[in-house]
Amino acid sequence: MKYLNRKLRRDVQRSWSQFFSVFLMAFLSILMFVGLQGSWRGLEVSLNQYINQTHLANYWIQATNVTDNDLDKLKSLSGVKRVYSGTRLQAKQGSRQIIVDTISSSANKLHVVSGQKVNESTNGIWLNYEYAKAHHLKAGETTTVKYGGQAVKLKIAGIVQSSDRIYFTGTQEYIAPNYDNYAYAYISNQTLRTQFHYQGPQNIVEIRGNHSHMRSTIEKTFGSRLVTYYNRTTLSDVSNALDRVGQIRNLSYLFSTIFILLAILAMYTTIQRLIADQMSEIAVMKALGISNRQLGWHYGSFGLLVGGLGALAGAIVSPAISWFVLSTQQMMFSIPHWTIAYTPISLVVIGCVVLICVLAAYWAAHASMQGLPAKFLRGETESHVHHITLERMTGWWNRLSYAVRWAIRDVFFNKSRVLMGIAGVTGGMMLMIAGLGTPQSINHLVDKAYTQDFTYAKRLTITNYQAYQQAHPNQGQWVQLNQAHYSKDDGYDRLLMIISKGDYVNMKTTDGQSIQKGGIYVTQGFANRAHIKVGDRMDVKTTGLDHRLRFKVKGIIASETNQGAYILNTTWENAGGNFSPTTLLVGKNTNYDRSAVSSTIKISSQKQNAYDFVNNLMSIFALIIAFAVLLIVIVLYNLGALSFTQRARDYATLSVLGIRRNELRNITFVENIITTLIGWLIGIPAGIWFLGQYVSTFSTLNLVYEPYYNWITITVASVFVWVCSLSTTFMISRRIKKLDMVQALKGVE
Amino acid sequence: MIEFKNVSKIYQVGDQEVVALNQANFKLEKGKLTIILGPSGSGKSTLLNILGGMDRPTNGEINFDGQAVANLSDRGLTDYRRTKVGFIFQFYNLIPSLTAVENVAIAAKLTNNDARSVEYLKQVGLGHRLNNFPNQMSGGEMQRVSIARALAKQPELLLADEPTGALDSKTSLKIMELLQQAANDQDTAVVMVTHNPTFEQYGDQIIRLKDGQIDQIYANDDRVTLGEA
Repeated sequence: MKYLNRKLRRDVQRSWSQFFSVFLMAFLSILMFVGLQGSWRGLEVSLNQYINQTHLANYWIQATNVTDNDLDKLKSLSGVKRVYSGTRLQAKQGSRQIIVDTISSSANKLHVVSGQKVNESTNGIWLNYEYAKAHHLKAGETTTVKYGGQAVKLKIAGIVQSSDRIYFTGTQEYIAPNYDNYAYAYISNQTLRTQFHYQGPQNIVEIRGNHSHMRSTIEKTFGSRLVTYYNRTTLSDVSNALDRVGQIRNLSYLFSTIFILLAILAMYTTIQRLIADQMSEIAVMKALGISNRQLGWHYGSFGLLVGGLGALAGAIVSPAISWFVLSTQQMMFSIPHWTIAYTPISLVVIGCVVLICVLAAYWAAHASMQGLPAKFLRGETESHVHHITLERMTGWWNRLSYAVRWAIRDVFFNKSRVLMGIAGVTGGMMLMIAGLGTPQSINHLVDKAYTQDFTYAKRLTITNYQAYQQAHPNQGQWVQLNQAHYSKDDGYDRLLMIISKGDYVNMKTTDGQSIQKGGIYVTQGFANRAHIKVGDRMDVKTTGLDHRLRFKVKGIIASETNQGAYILNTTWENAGGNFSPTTLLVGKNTNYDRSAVSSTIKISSQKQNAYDFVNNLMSIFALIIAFAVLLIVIVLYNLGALSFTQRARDYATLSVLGIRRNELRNITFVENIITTLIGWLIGIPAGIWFLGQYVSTFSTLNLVYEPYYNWITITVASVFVWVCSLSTTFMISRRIKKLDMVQALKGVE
Repeated sequence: MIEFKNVSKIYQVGDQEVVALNQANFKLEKGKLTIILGPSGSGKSTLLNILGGMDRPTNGEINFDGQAVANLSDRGLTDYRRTKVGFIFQFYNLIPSLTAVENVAIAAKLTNNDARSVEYLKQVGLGHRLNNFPNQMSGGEMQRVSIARALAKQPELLLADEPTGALDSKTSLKIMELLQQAANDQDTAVVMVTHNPTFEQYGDQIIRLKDGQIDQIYANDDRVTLGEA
């Protein structure tokens, strides 16, 4: 074995350029899987540590008035550990919005980045880290906030991060954090009273602990006083972070599965090609008396050495990928301490990749190890060639050139090689369509939401609807946003958007209809999750309403954003609902009364914010596309090279007979075209399916991603895969140039 | 018709120069069967490679009907093999996925002669095996397909590398008969390389090689013609 090991080492050194593709495959597949795992697991661990250390609440309630009686009821619930109550104010700093909570309301211990510890006896304000950073505010400085028409001058007591604001968008109108314009802050009760002069009731409650019927209990306890109710799944500030763990994990598993499958293909074909070159050596070693077991171990060692080195290198480099992906997430999530982390599955996958390399090498050599050595030394090869069914179509068959007949028969007689080729092309198409289609799908969601579904220029927050409507009738389209409990749902409260007649909300149903009177319209994602159909009867109870209203489901809205329901205000009011909107959508040239507006959001900033969200994921997609490109090139080249190796003697014979290089290249071209064509035809629907599976992993409770692709996606993916596949023919033509014709004069080796 | 003048082939093996063929001088004529005899390492394969346009000599001249072959470009050598040379291999080298007639036709097409593929197969006695694949034929039959494939190109020079090396003696005689016929009927210069001296009797000219040099060249006036009653 000592000498076999030396042979192994020297063979690998001598043929390193060929072994490099196996090394690269093992390297890339491990880099991809372990790298992404480091990110999602790291994010999960970072989140869990943060959540546990800060004792994140389980439920968040906002009500118009919170009484001691409410708190006592909540404290008595089974599973509830602590109940905190406090006050939330909406303050401003210039045009920027600040949500100010009292410290007492916070169930979670705030993470102090700088400044004083959070305590009730300190006057001042604790601002959130990202906002302070964006506006260069530091602890110890003085800042002024506006509340209720008064300017409140406060010392910045500290800079903090809160675990219930990990993904802080400031308002539900934005899908990505907007730290420049939205902040959260904490003050003591004393500051609330003395500086803000707030004399109103408490309006927020946070609960730690779990209770199985919390939703219904909260509704019963607060009745019409309830404004919002969230748990960790529905509070987007928290759920987006938790969802992101799952998104990167799914991304890692989905892509890595295809990656590893293609890598297996590349490894198997490369090793098979290398071992095909060693047929005579195997025969000689057998003739010398080396047992099949020793030979099996020897050739398996090729996979162990090269695959092992690749996997090891991938594992060593993977933390760089993990940190790279995490660094893109740090822009979105507010977590004090980031770490990368791995699970034992990484080790299992590393072991599997190495094992696959070993088995690929073993199986590739296995055929050569069977039978007596004389068979190989004589140059005998097994052949199972016969006429194929297609030849019965004699008229068509006889019109084919001999090269085409040869290629077609080879397709039938080398099924494993051809199937691998088809799988390679199909896998390539799947990766390309998903790689290109996913950012396209997310971009499409943004484009559709802000150019088709909503066409306003600005959305204004107006506190006094009645007065404004009387003073400025028909100025825009009014929207009332409510959290609602639907009678048939998926267990979560969802948005109800009550809209007046207007031109700025243009949601269409799945059959192309606009929102009309006489019923409620449910968004597609919600309908699918709650199994709601057109014609169903639906009870709706919005927060602030103490009774349910019943509506007929009139249509399913084809919208990816704001999963919930839409209804016209007239329908709502006819059923007994109250329409008191605070949002007015206006056009570009609407001359609105600025004095009545408390805040303004431009659709362009919403759109930009959404693109920030897309761009945050783009680097991961770019990484995947780059790896996929590399993988496709290697797989297809390997398959082409394997085909060439298996037919090298035939090509040498034809070369001796006087067939020119370009004619030989054309022959290799035919088989390549057959394989690519079949793989491409399967790859298009498979890629579209994969894209659907893939984008669905990004869907959240409120955003439902639909696969979007167009002819450009398919064309770019197709052109790339075809160019890669066919260019292998040209790479092979370089090998034809170096074809050793003399081998045609020898036996099969 | 083909003339070798002082043709040598020297290989560089490591630090050493190995003279595989040294100062070879001979002529080959159309209509004649030349047998090149010699033990292993005598330079037979080197001579065949150079004759067949698969390799270039290190020194010397090769004239083929007045055309210098030795210094042809790669493309020129391909055209030379394509138009002038037919080749019969020891291990037949048929394309496994092509039938007998397709194997012949793919080569015959090079000289636009594929319409006569069936005719050539009938000529070598394989009219009943046209649509059989190589794996469905015996060694002798495969070699006959190989001969038909070589003849179908209507070559001026037909090279046979140990064409009987993998065949039994009875089949070997059949192959020799076909080679003699090729030389006589098609007015082709046929060169057969073998290490088996028993085939000497069937050649018109014998070239004996030893250690890379031509040891003997002589005409065989007592040639045994096979297939004659």
